[in-house]
Amino acid sequence: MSALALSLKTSHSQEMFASPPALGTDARSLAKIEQRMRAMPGVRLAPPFDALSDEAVRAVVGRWNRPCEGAFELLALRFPKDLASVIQTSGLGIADLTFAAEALGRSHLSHLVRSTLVPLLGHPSAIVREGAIYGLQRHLDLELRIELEGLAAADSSPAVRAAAEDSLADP
Amino acid sequence: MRFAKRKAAWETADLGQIRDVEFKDKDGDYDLRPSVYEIDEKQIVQAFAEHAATAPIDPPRSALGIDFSGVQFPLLRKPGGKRFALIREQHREVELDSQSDLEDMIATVCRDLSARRRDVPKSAVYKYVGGQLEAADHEWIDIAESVDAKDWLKRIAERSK
Repeated sequence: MSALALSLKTSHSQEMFASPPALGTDARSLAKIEQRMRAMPGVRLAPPFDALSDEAVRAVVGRWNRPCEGAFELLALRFPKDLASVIQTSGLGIADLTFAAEALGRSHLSHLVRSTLVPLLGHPSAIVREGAIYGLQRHLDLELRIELEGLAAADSSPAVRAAAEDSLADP
Repeated sequence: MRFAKRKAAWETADLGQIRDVEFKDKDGDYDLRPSVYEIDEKQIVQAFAEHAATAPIDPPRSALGIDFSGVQFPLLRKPGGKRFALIREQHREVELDSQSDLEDMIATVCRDLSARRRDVPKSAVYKYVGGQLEAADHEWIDIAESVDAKDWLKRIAERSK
C-alpha cells in the first residue's frame, strides 16, 4: 500500500471514529428534552385539538397551537384517525374544516376517509362540501359515486357541482 | 391572476369568509404576500396547468382564476418555482402591510367580482398538458419523468406516448 493510500485510509478512519455532530452536547440535551416530553403525561391543547391523542399532541405542539393547513397535513400523514376525530368533533370553523377534509383525503385509509367525509357532503356550507369532495376523490366506491352524481346534478352551488363532476371524471 | 383555493368561497361575496379561506398560509396566519401571476388572458390555462403540476394540487381540478388587475397595492417580482419559465418569470406577490390592507384588497376585487372571474375547466388543463407532452415540450417531459412526478401527470404522459 502506498504512503498516500495509507494516509487517506487513516484520515478516513479518524473521521469514522470521531464523535459525529449528532452526539454533541447540544444534541444530547435535545435528546433528553425529547425523552422528557415523551414521558410527559397528556399535554392538552385547546379545542378542537383536545381531541388528539397524546402522541399526536406531541407531534403538533411546538409547531402549531391552533388549527391550520400545516397541522392538518401532518396529522393526515401520521395520525389520520386523530384528524378524523378533530373533524368529527365539529369544533372547526368552515375555513379550517374544508382544508382538514381535503388533507384527510391524503390518508390511505379509505374506509376512515369515507366514513368521516361523506357526512360533510351534506354540510350547509358549500365551502365545506367542496373540500370534502377534494378529500374523497381518491377514495371513490360505487356508493360514493352515486352520491357525487347527485351533487353534480343538483347541488345549489356551481362550485360544488363542478367539483363533483371533476371527481367523477378522473381518469 | 390568482387561482382560488376554494371556488365556493368566491360565490359567497362574504369578505371575511374569503379572507379566511383564501388568504391564510399553512401556519394559519393571514398571508400578506399573496401570490398572483402577471399574465395575459390567453395564458391562463398554461399558467394553471404549470401551477397545478408544481403546487400541492393532485389531481388538478377545474380552476377559478380571479383577475387582480387594478388592486391598489404594489406587486413584487418573486420567482415562482424552477420548472416552468412562464410561472417562474410571471409570478408576483402582492405587498400588503396589514390585515386591513388584505381586507381592502379583497373588497376591491369583490366590487366587480363577476367581471374578474375566469373559469378554467379541468378538461382544458388535461388537454393542454397532453398536447405539450405530445409536442415533446421539454419542461413537461422533464417534470413528467422526474422521480416526484404526480400520478395524474404520469397517466397523461403514458397516454401521450
